[in-house]
Amino acid sequence: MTPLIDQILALKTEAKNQRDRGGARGYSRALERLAAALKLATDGLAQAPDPDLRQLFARELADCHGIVGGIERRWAHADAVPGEDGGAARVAHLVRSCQAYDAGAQVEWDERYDIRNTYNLVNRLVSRLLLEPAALDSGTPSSFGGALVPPLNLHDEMAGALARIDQHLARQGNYWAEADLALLRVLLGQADAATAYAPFLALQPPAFAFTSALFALRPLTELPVAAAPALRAAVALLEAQQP
Amino acid sequence: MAGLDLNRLVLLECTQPADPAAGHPSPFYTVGTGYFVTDDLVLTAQHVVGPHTPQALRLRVEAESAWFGVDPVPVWADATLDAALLRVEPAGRRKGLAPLLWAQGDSTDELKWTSAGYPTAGTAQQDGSQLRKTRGLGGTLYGAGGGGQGRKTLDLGVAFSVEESKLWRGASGAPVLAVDTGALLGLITQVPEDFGGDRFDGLPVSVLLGDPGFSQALQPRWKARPLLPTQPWVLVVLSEDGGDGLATWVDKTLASRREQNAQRASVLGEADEPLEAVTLRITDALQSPADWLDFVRTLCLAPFAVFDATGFEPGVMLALGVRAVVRRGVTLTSTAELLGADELAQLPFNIKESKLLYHGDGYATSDARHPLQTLGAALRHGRRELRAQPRYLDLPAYDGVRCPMPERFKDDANQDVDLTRTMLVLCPFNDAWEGSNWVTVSNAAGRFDAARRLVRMRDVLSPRLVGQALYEAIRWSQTCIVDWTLWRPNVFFELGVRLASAEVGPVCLAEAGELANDNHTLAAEQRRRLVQLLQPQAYAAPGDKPGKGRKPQAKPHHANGAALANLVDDAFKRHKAIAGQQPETLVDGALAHNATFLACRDAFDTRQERFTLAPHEALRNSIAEVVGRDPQNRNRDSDVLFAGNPAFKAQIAHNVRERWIAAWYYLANRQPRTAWATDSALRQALRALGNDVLQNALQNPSEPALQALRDEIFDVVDALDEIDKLPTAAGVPPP
Repeated sequence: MTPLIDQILALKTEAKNQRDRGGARGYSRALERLAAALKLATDGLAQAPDPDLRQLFARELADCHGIVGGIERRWAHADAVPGEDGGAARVAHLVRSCQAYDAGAQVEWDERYDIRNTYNLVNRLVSRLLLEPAALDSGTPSSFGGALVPPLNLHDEMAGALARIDQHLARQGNYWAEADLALLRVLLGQADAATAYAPFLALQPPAFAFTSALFALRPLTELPVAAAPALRAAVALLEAQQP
Repeated sequence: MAGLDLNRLVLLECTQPADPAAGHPSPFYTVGTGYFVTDDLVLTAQHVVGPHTPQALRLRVEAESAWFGVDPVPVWADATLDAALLRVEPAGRRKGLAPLLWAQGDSTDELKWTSAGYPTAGTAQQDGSQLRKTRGLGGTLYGAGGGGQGRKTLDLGVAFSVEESKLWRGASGAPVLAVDTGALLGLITQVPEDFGGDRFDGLPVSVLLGDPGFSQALQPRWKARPLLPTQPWVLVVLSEDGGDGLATWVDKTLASRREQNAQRASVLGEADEPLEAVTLRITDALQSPADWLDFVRTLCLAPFAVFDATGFEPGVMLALGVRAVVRRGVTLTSTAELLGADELAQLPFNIKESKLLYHGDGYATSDARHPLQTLGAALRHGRRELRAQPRYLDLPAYDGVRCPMPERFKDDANQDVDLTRTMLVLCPFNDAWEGSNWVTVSNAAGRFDAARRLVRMRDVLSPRLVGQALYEAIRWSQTCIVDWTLWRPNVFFELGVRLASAEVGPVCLAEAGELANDNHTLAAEQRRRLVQLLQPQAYAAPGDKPGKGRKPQAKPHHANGAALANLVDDAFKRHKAIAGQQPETLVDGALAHNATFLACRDAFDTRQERFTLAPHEALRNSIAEVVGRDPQNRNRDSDVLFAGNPAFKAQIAHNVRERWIAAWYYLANRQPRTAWATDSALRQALRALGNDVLQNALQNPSEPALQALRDEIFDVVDALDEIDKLPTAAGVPPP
């Protein structure tokens, strides 16, 4: 019997490949694999008899939610689905993206599991920003795509996330955390691109970390937000430095 | 008086594979005779079943009328001797047979012999079928015959000749029994061409019994094996004088976590901690050659082992030496004595490197140093680290004995230096021993072969770490002399390493007084059993007669010239015979010089050797060692030291990608595509590897060739998905 954790890893890998292949067919297949992986991780978490195993399955559960959120966000991108009803479909995908990231963030910041990851925490806010760009600069609580996504004050949530990351995960050689921290600093206007991304670049992260950071940045550069020029500078910087 | 026993006599029928080169375009039958020598082992001539493994083999016991199948792979066979032992299942099939009387030694007298077999000459026709009938055989054994050059054979005159010698076919393997004593003298192996069919050649039992492999195969089957748990388990080896404390704490530790571990196993799909303990006292393991070999096989198989090293008893150290050769881990050593800094500094150097646990009663159960806390944690961490770290070790020797054979080289004087021809001496490091015993041993070794260098560890020229050079030398030195004098724990650990890793056993020596039973109050029984098993050659101390006990001495005495020399010389003679593959017949209760090695060779868990992995799995593992199994889910980059060096980092990234690609090319092209449809395991492996390669090596490739490879892998994965969806005639996907 293949160990449960290996089954989850294999499904995740398959899902990521189908995601990278792109297109409605690729995204659908990827989500199928992730639905299976989420079930296995949920079962594993429910049955895990000790904190060690619970953390292991919670980490996978959060990761699977995050990958779902990312796929839905990609699918939302109009170019990914030519011919589809861009507006409604885009909103629907972004709503599902927010929901998936919310679920992931809930797991990854659940104290019972002691995970503390930035993946879902930051991306739940980025997907909301894509849904409602004006929410960032308004500084007030906003709703996002209807009742399915809970309203929140996007600026304050980003500031809160930044503080959490800064407190728990920054300066520890964790390039994922440094990329997320840099993104939030740029979005909140706290630093220019070069300053914000300097700690990330100093870690000489692998190519897939650049790919992931650029995946988050690129759609934001087109948004009507104050940070758009800095976001474009960040994209240019990372593209220039990408291995 | 025993004689020919029809309950033992069997007709063997082998279905041999086609051999067109030998004139057999299709499978064919061979027939021979065999004889039960134990309740489940049949002795026959090797050529009856060989030269290749038969497709099928069945036998018919003369006293019964039914045929039954036999494992066609002999438990022991030697084409040179032309003899084989076949195992008949189930064990004890011929239960109730009286012990077989084996002839002792070779006689030059003429003897009358008797037998029965199934020669072609004795076939009968019945209802159109050819039936093999037993034919009585007998004649005179010419004791003076069968000598001359080469190995001793039985020169058997046959009372009744046949017209053509080929008519004797089918009698091969028939037993040769002495008419007067009923003892088994040997077996019939061939008919010499020039005697007109009235002479047989036979293999004498003296030659058979001198073969360590044959002797080992005759030992009762491994009693412990069927009892070993199927779930991960821990072997607890208790010392002779250390009580049961270790077993108690291991049991309590396992009990406290059993439910949780069983749950973990059900969630993970495998148990990652031991669920059961198998406990054994070292004196039981040393009780007989069969018990020792059972124990050795258990040492090979136990995924976890805990040794009570209290007092560093020689038997326990010997077992640790064997374990160090056969398992990378997990092995824990523990003592019931609370050792202070000074005592820790005095530990045997093989143990010094390892983490010595404590299982005494010196701490409250809630204390983090109590065995209830430390044993479980050590087992848990050991298993985790063993899986995560390919070079994990918790005892020395495992890697050292796996060094390749040292190459010859020319020294400064242009002389050949062949490290394997040195004579390695494992001995105590003690001034008294150095001053007397060493002189004696070295003189005896010089008389044995003055051209070969005699070295103790301090004489080894290699600048390498002592441990590495030592264990390599223990395995590869043709001659390894082990002096038991003073019963040093280090020496017994090294002896265990030699027994497990070298095809030629050691030359064991000891001052006579050291072997006398009444000289030791501690671990006395195991010392007696070790002496019985390994038969160290006693040599005399001044004023003593060899082999007689003397009271313990503060220091070994100066060796006494001639008497001692003769005894040590005898040990070297035996060694020479062993190295020349002509070992003497074993003393009752003694272990064949290479029996431990053979047991390890056969029971070794080969999965520990990375070379047994398929090429694509080996490549995958080599990548995981560098970047982990799920590199994108790590918070850090490669764990390789100095990977922060940009040039090195780029090399790592490049080679990681190239290894993934190599793995894919191997697996995708090794089998024809038609195999994909019929082999579900291959499909599963291809799908998993393809996805890993896509994700870890071919994300956004810029090189056209790699883009094409990426598309090709996607196509393969799609094709595999389609195959798995294909309905079959039975309505289920293909296997």
